[in-house]
Amino acid sequence: MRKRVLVAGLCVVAALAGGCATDPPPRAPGLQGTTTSLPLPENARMLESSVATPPAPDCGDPTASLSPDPNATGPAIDRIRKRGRLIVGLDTGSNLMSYRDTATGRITGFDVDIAREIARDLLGDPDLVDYRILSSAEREKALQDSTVDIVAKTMSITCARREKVDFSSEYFRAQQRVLVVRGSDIRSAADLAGRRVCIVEGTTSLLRMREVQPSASILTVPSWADCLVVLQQQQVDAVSTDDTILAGLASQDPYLELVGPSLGSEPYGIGIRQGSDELVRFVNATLERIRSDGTWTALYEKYLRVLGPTPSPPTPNYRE
Amino acid sequence: MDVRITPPFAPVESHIRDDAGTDAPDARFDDARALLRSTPVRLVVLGVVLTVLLVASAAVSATTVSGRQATHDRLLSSIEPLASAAQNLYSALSVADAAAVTGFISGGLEPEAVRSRYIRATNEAAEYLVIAATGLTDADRETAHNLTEIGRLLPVYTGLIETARTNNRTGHPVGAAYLGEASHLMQTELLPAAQELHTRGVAAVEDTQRDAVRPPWLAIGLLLVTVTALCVAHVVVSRRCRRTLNPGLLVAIGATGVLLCWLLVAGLASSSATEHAIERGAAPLADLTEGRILAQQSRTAETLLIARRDTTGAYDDTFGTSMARLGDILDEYGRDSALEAGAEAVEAARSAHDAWINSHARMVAALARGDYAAASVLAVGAGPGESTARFVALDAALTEGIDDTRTELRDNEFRASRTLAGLAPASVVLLTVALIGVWVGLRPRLKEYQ
Repeated sequence: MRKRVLVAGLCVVAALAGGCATDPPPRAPGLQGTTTSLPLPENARMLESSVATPPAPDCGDPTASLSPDPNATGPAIDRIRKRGRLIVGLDTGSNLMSYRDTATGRITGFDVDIAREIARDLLGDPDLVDYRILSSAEREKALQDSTVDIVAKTMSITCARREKVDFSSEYFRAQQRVLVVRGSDIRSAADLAGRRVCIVEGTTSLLRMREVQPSASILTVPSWADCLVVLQQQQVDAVSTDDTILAGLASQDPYLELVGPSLGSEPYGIGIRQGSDELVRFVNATLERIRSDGTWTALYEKYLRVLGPTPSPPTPNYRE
Repeated sequence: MDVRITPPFAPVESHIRDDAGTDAPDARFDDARALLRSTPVRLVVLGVVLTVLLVASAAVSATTVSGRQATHDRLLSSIEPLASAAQNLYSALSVADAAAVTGFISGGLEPEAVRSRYIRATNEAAEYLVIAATGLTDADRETAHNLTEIGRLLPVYTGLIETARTNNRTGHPVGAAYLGEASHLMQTELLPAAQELHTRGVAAVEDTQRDAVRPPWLAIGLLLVTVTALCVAHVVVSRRCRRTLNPGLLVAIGATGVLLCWLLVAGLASSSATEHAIERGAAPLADLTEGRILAQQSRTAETLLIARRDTTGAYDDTFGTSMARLGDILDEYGRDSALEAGAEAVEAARSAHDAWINSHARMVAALARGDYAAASVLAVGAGPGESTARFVALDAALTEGIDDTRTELRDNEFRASRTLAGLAPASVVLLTVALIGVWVGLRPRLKEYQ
């Protein structure tokens, strides 16, 4: 009898102890269920399609610049000569025009060499150049704030920009086109309706795309190299800008091709701070020199041969 | 019932009842009182009261002490290692990113040392991630989220870096854009997750220590009451039975008294060790780890400033703010004379901090006058007077300080746990002895009344 009580008591104790021990152990954390898509470049964003573009102001022929003068002097030129270096605003993501040479780490390209020619005339040595990295949207402000002396960065001359900055004479004429992955069903800008297109913010390419194909959804990024990244990561279907830049992107990826006719032409000029007329005249003199002494043709052949046979340099247009 | 129906007779009946005497309620109550006042019953009641007190004391003492020990052990075995692993994880990730960015500044193929630093850092990050994950027993959702985010994004990050490298090797400038994307991912997703993980780890250490810093007053108070009750019992018993000493009760008093003294000494010592662990270990450790993170963030800002030739001043502002905050932390640390652990390391960190600000200013000046080559040498060059060496010295000093304070924290926590060793079983044994003593002491006295 007593034994049975003891056994019962032990059972109760065992049950209590067992009850404590069989508490379910904490579970291993489950998967969070987050999306596993690749990241986007910094400051990439989808553009609101409803934003209306302001009508372009009319200033006659925007490419009309001041007549060249190799002996021009003034405060802007004095400042550069006193510093001993020409500060050039550009970016490193526009292959062929301005990019970072992976082997040397130096910034090079068609635009860069034009800037170096200006430094050669201004300071006697093409190496006396210092670069400031600008996104396309920062170009005008950098000139207005005098952060840079000149901008040599595939900058199209437009009436809207002329309200804020001055331009040299036209030194190159590019055509806006469309870059897609080989085998894509996009053959021209008309096929971009409802598709995703990468364009850099603050460019004339963006304005024109909204004009010719308003139903394309646009992803904006800080630099053209970022457009190649999102195209390779399959986050957009196409990139649209000047053939100079697109050819530079296509040359880094054999799976890409330029398609469709030109959407419009883009006259490139060297951006200069407003009111620095003597610098405009001086830069125009340098541009005159490289047009006539064969430097322009040599630079075209060095960087832009992928665009086709070497054309003659654009004819400058002077208003006074 | 009859009484109510025939009220006239009531007085008579009550009279009869008065005569009955012994059956009256008053008398019965008096009787019970007398019984209670009788010595044997008093002794039994006394014994029961003492038993309840002893059992309660044993239960409270044993559970308090073993609870404390479990807390300390938990801190040592999982919570503190998690915090530490999180801190190392943050560092490894940051080093990986700095190495990857540095490799691209020099042009051409990146230096072998930089590449191996990147590989080592990503390997360490993966390792610390696992260590931090094994400390994850409470299934804390937030912590789990941070860990899986890092676990998920780290391979993405390394993939992007490899794409950047491959493009770089084949001469495609787009490599720099991939690098930018990877660095952006690191700075905006991975590092914040690692920092959050570390912050929560530090908070968990502090919470756990706060639980253990108060001396076990309840257990001590209960034991004090029990000892007093035993002494009172001894006085009562010896007076009533005219015997001067009761050996059973004396044993009970002795055993309980020993436990009281032990608990008082060990409990207070353990509390003070915990307090030391907090004030000289955990608190300065949290400051120094925050400082190390600030140093890493400053280095990132400096590297990105030179890599992107930034002139907007954004990275320079980040550098300035982080370094100023770090300077404040080091100053405050130096002013607190009670902090012996890590004091030397903090002094070394202070001078490396100042020297670095100096070389950074020279780098910014070179960049401002357009001398990029000189600026990049100052930022990432290998010379002893350049930013890299200054940052390495600062990081090394802070790491040493972190090690020192961590040792202080762990040593004191271990002391807090060790002083309580054996107390839990001892309290059960001693109070059982006291219980036996009480009944052995009372039994002969009870027998005298049978």
